[in-house]
Amino acid sequence: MKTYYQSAIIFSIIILFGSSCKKFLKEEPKNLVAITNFYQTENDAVSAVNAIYAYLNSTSSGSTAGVYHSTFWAMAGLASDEMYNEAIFSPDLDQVSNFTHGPINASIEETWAIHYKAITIANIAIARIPAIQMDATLRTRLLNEAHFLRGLLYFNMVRMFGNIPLVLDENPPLTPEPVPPNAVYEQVKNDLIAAEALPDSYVAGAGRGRATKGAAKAILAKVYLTLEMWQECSDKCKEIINSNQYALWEDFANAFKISSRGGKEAIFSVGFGDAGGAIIFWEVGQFNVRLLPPQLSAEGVENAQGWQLPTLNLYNGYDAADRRRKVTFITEIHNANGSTTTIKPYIQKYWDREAEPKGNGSTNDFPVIRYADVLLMYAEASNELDNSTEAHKYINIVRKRARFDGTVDRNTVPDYVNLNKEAFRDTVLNERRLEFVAEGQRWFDLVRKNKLEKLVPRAKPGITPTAPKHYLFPIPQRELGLNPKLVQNTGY
Amino acid sequence: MQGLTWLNENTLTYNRQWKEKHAVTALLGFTTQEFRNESLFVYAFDFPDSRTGYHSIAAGLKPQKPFNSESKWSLVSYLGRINYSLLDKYLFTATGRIDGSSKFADGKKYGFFPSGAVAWKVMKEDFMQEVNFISDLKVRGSYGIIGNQAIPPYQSLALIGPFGEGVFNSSNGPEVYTGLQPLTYVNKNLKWESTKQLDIGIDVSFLRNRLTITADYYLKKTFDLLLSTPIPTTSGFSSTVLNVGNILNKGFDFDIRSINTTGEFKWNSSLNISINKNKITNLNTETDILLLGGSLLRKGESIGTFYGYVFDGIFQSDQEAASSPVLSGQEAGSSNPASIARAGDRKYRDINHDGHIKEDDRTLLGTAQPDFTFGFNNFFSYKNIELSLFFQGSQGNKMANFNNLDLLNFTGQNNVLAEAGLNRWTPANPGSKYPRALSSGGIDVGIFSSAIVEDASYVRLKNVTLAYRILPGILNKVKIKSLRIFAGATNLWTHTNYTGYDPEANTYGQSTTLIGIDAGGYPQARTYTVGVNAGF
Repeated sequence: MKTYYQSAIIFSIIILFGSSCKKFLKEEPKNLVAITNFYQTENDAVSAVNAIYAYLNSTSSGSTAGVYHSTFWAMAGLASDEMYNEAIFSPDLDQVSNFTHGPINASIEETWAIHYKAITIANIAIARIPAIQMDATLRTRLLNEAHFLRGLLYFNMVRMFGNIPLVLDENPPLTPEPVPPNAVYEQVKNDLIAAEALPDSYVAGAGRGRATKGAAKAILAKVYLTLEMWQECSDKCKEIINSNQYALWEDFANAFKISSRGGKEAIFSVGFGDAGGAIIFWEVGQFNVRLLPPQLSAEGVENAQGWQLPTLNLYNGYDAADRRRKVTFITEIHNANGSTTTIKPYIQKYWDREAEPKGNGSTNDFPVIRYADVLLMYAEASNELDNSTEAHKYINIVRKRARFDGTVDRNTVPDYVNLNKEAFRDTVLNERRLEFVAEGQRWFDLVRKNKLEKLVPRAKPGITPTAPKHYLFPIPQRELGLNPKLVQNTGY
Repeated sequence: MQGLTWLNENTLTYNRQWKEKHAVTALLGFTTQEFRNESLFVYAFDFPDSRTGYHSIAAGLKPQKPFNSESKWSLVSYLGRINYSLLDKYLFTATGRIDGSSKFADGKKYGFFPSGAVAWKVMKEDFMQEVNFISDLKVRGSYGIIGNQAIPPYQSLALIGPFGEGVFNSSNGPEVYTGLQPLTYVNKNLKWESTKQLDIGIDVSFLRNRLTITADYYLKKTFDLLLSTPIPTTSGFSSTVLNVGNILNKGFDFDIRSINTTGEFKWNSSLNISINKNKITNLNTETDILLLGGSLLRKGESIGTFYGYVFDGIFQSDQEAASSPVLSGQEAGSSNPASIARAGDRKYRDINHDGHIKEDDRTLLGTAQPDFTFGFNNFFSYKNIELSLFFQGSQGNKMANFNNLDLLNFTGQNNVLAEAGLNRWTPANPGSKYPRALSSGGIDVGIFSSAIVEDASYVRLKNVTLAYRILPGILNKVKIKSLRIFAGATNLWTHTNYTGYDPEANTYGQSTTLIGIDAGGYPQARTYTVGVNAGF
């Protein structure tokens, strides 16, 4: 009988222990916060928006896959008459440069994936921030920063891929339907119009670099430019010009100095750097490693790989006295023994030789849009609106700077005068080419102006893009394979 | 890094026998288990003192942010088992267990896994007493459900973590910002994977155990297979753990042991053969799942099925290349004339006959599942000499030889196999296996095709040992009980047509779905051993 009592006692203990199992099996990690406890404080709201910015530079996995880290702007340069590829083991970039890329291409896959990653983070911020109890002004600002970033990212995506899923919800379906470009553009405009309520600027060191009213207007102007909504583009540019928030540096070289980051010409830029070791080392920029010539090791420059180079056609497209040619390219190496070696042109504009003499990891900014772009967009739109005087005036503001050699205005690189409408179109397209080397603009500009098959063969003999195929990139095969609702773009 | 696991088991056992006819053992139990893991990472750069170097992390001039992680999972089980034996001839077992795992979503944490088994010791029946050539006979059957929870914790939770950082630069220098965001795609429906398994077996011995045969037939149906699965990146994530589908495994296992000779010359053999058929009976995703390494999960096919282009030899002339379907970018009107297909380029099969080689020309290229595997062991002894030989093999399985994806890549940018380089296609040396050499990367780079999917059937002498046992009579004088001198070798001989280093390679050895992939692991070594065993 005694043994039965013992069994009963033990069994009761088991039952008692068992009753606390619900708690025992509950997952409550202590080093992380569950979503049900998050998006509640002001700090949560700030962190949610910072997380979107964090996908513009590098990603925390250490890869080069941030939206503006390099692949995006390298592709825009390679799929045009601007750059060609010399990086080995990168058939994906070779193919983009030669217009033989298909839907299985690592760079195209990465570009698609990183844009949607950042978009989904923006979607969460936009869904969650309105309900957070916090300072109302800051809440509105953060929400509009998220709108700006989502608009910017979808603007890239719709131009590159055409019919794409327009994912806006915090919890989207796993296999969303694609929508036509006009639906994406509607959303882009709405997001950017909301973002026009952002502040004019932020104090240096206390927010400078975040999205501003000017940034929203400048990207919106580019949306209108792309859609050939000339009046709206012109108006938007004029608002930026009249805001007196921005100006060109007198010397083109100063636009890319470390000391000019967040300066008067920067409308929206992506920052790089590890803040002297305060954050992980791979947050530095790759401009120097990617673009500078390996021969610079003779000048003590480290790790210059020269993966992407300018086409000779681009280099030869400048007036020899054009300040921009000297600033943008490097063609001479100064050897230790005092001699000089001439090399083929490489791109050096992002390298601040005084601030970062050893090159390698860069702390420079990537200019998503700078004031010179607004001036040239305004000139282009004015020309289309038959306002020739205004068009010439503004293209020549940009042109004038090319005459400045760092100390004096020279009597060279003359102003454009009396161009007819058609000639002005070609001229402004060419001026954009000279001004924005390696700024992720050229493929977009050539596509916008229907010039791919005309201009690329001049820079890359034998290489001939075709329309409509190369006016969009292929939807990555990985995504097509996983989402049967996606449709491949024509020609791929 | 620090880990802690504890297990608490409480069981009650009850034994009773009645009249030497009935025997019952009952067990009731309750167990709890918890696993914790904590890790801390510290980073620093620039160590000025070469005497201590990175061994003194605090001396680093550029300390980085530390990073830590914690994970925990727990398991609760209630279990019961009854064994009943009637006359020691008829054996019955019934088991039931309820397992609760923290890893699954709320409401899906518990699974019930019952099983039952019967065995009949036929040899104990009266009518078998007269059957002399059979020395033992037992028939077995079992049916049960088992659960699998082998996934990382927190997969069903939406966790927000520090992820993403950067700088806003200005004339004031860098301003650091940090972000917080969801770390995984949340699957609120995540539940136990379960397998229903039927097993019928027979154990029989003949001629006073000179010949013993064990044969089993099994049928295993796995439901809600847990798998980290690629998902569209429009979700913000590239993969998530899903209950992806159902798998069927069925097959036979045979084990035959024989004592071939007795007496001075002894020879024993054992042979085991396994035949398994594997099939994906259902997929819960909208599409096939293309895993890395050219492996495909498709309803109706087996796990380990390869998917890619069919390599069809080498173009022997420019005309042939110009009139054949080619990869996008290799066609006559290609945007890049240098990449147009020429004599010496690889030819792929136009599966859908649309005149192009595109993604939809990929097809099934065989499976890593073997028709059968076997092991064959022989032991000989004559006087004090012993010899054992163990062969093992696999028949009918394919392997994706990823080494060749790079080593047959004629881009002018990397090393290639000497065999392929020396026998590359040239007008003077036309072949149908290796392409022409290129000076730069082309279109046909990194294409997963039947060119790298090879038959990996093999027979291998896995182990051979020759031993000499010194007779006790001599040993007694030096007070040694036993002394054995032996020489052995492993992997001494292999017969295979597989061109990689090792037909047993399995790069993703931990994975249940990525099998038959050789991405350059260290091959199995051939070892020679000489030794002495002495007993005192």
